[in-house]
Amino acid sequence: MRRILIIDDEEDIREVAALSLEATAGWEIVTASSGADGILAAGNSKPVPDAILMDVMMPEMDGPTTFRMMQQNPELAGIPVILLTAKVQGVDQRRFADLGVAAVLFKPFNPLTLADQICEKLGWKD
Amino acid sequence: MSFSLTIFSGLFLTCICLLGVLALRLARKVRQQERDLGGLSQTLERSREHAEEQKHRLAERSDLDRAKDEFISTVSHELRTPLTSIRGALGLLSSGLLGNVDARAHNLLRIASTNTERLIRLINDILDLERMESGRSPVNLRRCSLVDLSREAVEMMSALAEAAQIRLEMNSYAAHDAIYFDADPDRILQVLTNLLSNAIKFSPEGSTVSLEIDANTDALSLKVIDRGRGIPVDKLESIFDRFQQVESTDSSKKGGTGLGLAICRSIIQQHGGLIWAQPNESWGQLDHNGAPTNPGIGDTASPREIAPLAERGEGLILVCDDDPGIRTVVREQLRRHGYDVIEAGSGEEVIALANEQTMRNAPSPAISAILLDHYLPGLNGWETLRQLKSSATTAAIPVVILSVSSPSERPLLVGEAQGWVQKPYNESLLLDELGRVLKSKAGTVKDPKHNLRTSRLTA
Repeated sequence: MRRILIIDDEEDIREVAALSLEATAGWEIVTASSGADGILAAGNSKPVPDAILMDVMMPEMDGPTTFRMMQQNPELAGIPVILLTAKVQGVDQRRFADLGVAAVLFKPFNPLTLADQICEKLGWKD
Repeated sequence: MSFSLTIFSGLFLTCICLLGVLALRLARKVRQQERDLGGLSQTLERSREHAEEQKHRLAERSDLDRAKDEFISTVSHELRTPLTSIRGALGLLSSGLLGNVDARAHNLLRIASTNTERLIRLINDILDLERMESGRSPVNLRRCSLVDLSREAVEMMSALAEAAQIRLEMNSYAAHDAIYFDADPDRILQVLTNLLSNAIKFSPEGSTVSLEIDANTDALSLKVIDRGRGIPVDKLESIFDRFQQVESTDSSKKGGTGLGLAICRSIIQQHGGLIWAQPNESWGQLDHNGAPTNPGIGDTASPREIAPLAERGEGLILVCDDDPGIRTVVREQLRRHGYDVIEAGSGEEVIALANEQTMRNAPSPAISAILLDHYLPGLNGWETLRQLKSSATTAAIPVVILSVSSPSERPLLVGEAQGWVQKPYNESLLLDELGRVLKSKAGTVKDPKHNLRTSRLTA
């Protein structure tokens, strides 16, 4: 079974996204409410998550910063990260693409197809 | 000359038309009407005032643009965040994945879901329109096949048409299928699918919606025609305004946002075209035959539609930037607005080209203006400008600085240059500034000696 870590400072969005992935794909979900907690959660999770779904705009440490810190940790650097963002301006999109994340998905996401979109972006065939 | 685009399209026994050739005609007319600015001292004084004014205006506009950009980005984020939770929660509940809900509750969930989707579309459309109208979403021009684009639009809409039991057809009245034009294919598709989907939504079951293509050497036209309830004559123009629908209940019943046609108009204007609605002959209230046999007749379009296109330019512009990417963007933007463009990658090249073009004048045309980057390897913008202005051959060519610096950071350049555009620039600002500079040049050009003296004195 796949294990996904969701990092978002909005509790409601964590809950909806978790429920959506559990109900539609049957994945196991771990959540964290900040970038720092997310890095801890990813490190403590045994086995490490198959993928991380992370918000871009978070107080203190934003998504891109958290991603860069994860890349410096050899244990976490291999986990594919998908940024989930409410920013759809072209400038922002290009900035995210340059980071080297696995994919960028947009809010508001469709709860019924979110798991499919993740599979498609990561090339998962399940 | 860039391409001319005429798109005729019809909604509800009506046609919506786009027209490009008008722009050129209008621009020529405007130029003819320009008057001599007057005596030397007056010109000098005015150009000084203008430079001062321009300096302030530029600084103010770029501050405003930045503030607006940030505001839009923030609003977009703040609205989407709660909508993400609402859409997610409603979607999961109404899907039945979490257990069944009774029929009445399900109906309420459906209402909430539909309206959430509508709100999301509305936010997307508002942002789309805002970005386009502020010039922050420039069109990416590519050579496109008119027939292929039209076919793609029809294919994209075929599922919707089938569900509504509407027959969708495409007809070409052009002499051949190989019609190519420069356009942003995604944007043109957005326009066509929007018009087609409108036409389908407002058509009676079993009727036909057609997309008609026509082209001659001057213009392309696209027409979307349906046999629906029609647009009242007094609404033919206002339907292109924001939140204007024929009936106030249309947005809730038909699922539109009220911004679709405003977006279409914006896209077509960015392409130098024109869009309008026209009643079909069976309405009989306007004397139109619907067929775009002579798209050059300007009276059928309202002046409001034509106004943004009046900036169309004419003349040879030398664009100098060491970044080939920026040169390409500027070149495409200028060409699209009627200018001819030559490029230079360095200050040395600018001076060589300016001298060459001015000396041999015929058969190659003289340079009307130079767009000059400030940070250049080798001879920088300032040194290039000094050399141009101190040579009798090139002193009269107006120079517009295109720089990341603001005019206040480079006071020396301001005194020498005739115009200033700060990078990152927006397209309309560039065209306005270039148009202004060329216009003031046209005002004094009648006496070449006179013009030269003006330039020297300004320098």
